[in-house]
Amino acid sequence: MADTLDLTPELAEIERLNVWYDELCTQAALDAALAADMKLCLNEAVANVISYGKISSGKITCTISIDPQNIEVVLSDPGIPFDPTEAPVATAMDGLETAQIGGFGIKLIRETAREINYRREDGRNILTLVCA
Amino acid sequence: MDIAQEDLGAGVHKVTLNGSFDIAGASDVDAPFSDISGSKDKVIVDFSGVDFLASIGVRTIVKTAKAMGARGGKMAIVKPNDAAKRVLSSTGVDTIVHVVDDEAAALAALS
Repeated sequence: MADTLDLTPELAEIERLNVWYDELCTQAALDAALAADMKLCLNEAVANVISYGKISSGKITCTISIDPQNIEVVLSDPGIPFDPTEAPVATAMDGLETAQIGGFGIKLIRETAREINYRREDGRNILTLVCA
Repeated sequence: MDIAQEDLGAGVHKVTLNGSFDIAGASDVDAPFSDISGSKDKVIVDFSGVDFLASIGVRTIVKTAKAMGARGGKMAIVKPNDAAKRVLSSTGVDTIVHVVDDEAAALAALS
């Protein structure tokens, strides 16, 4: 069974998303490590969409399906086209001289999710993430 | 996210965090960390109560560590959970901040 939450494109919405997500994982008795992995992917993906998607109208829709062995999230947003599977990935810091403040979201998603699929459909980005 | 601070003596300042280091958590602690970055030279950040770390939290830590490092200061993160440890390692935070499993190791790293 899938659950869906609509978000307005504001960073403050991520707190509501996390409360909803934590409750779904608890109800489904999802393995804590698996829940934590997807929570990271979800936070990074939604923060990217809100910060850089240039959404002028419409909502971000988050659909979550959980079974005992895996969790799937489908994020749909009306932002500018953005494919996280093709985007350049930040290099890890290596000492204070090269330390950078941000840009790690996509790297963390790619390293954490088991599957990442992207398509553009009807003017929306559709990102599917699976953690297992 | 809750933040508590105490001076341990010998110039060491301890910051204890409790909660999620997500967007809301980072906005709760950005101002105190900004103060710390300009005023403290040896800082231990107790992560044992941090149940979640996103890249926005990494941003707060790196900003603070960079400013402290520019003044010759040092930071150590103590007892991150496994997921937080992976984030710290994947981003390379562990190359600019000591990441250790107990306070004694942190004190040794800062001395």
